[in-house]
Amino acid sequence: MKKKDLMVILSIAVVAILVFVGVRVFTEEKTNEVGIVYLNNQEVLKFDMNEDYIYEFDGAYGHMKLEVKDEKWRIFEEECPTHICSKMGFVGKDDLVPIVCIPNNITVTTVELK
Amino acid sequence: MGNSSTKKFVYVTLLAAMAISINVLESTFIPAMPFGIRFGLANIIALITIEMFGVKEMLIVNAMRVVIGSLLRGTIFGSTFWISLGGVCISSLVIIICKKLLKLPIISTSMLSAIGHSVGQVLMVSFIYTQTSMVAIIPYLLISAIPTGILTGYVSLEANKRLPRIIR
Repeated sequence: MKKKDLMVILSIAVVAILVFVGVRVFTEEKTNEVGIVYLNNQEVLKFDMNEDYIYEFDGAYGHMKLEVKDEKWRIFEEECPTHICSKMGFVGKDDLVPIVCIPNNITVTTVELK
Repeated sequence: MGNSSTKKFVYVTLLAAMAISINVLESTFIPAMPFGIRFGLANIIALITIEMFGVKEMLIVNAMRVVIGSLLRGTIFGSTFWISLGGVCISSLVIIICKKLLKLPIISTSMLSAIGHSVGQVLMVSFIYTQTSMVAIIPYLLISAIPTGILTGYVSLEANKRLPRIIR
């Protein structure tokens, strides 16, 4: 490890923190927010994040289940080779990160109801 | 001349074959972590190639890795293919800049190219799924690039010490 390596590590950490804070500062507060599932950018279903329920739908690869619990939601029991989306676990609206499953072409995120 | 260029050709294809097999084996045997964080072990080969040969050869090895790797996995021209192509383009660009312009040590190059790879993939996902909110994932990927970049950088540093300088 050289001095330059440590400087690079330090700057990566600083940039990561800046992006982390920046994303939270510049995201506008959504009112009347609902969860939404897209398949190939087409809306598949909307869900109320305040109501505990289990939804089922089909992705491009196979069947998937979406559980909403305590204002958080997760994908589980999905047919998928990688299972990255279910490993993300529960996501809430403060996490800002959408659930994306690439083999299924599914994105789970939130939108503002107009 | 003829002899040495054949030799070089064989070495480049061997490196490409190693990159492809590492890529396929990694995605098969090492389970994916949350947010799609991976070790990126195939990057070791890219770093070895640019050190042993140069920019052109590294681009060949990286392109072969993505195209033949996705052919083997059967995902060619699907969304996975475009996402890994986006990742590999940015990470190759970052390696060239770090190595040739900034002359950074190999561990820094490795970390920054790991970042390039994840940022390229995130940009591609944001583009394909029109999800700009994917940017929120970048801090996690940046932090995870530090240990994985040190790992791949260290391995290629040690490998380069042991490999003979074949052709310049």
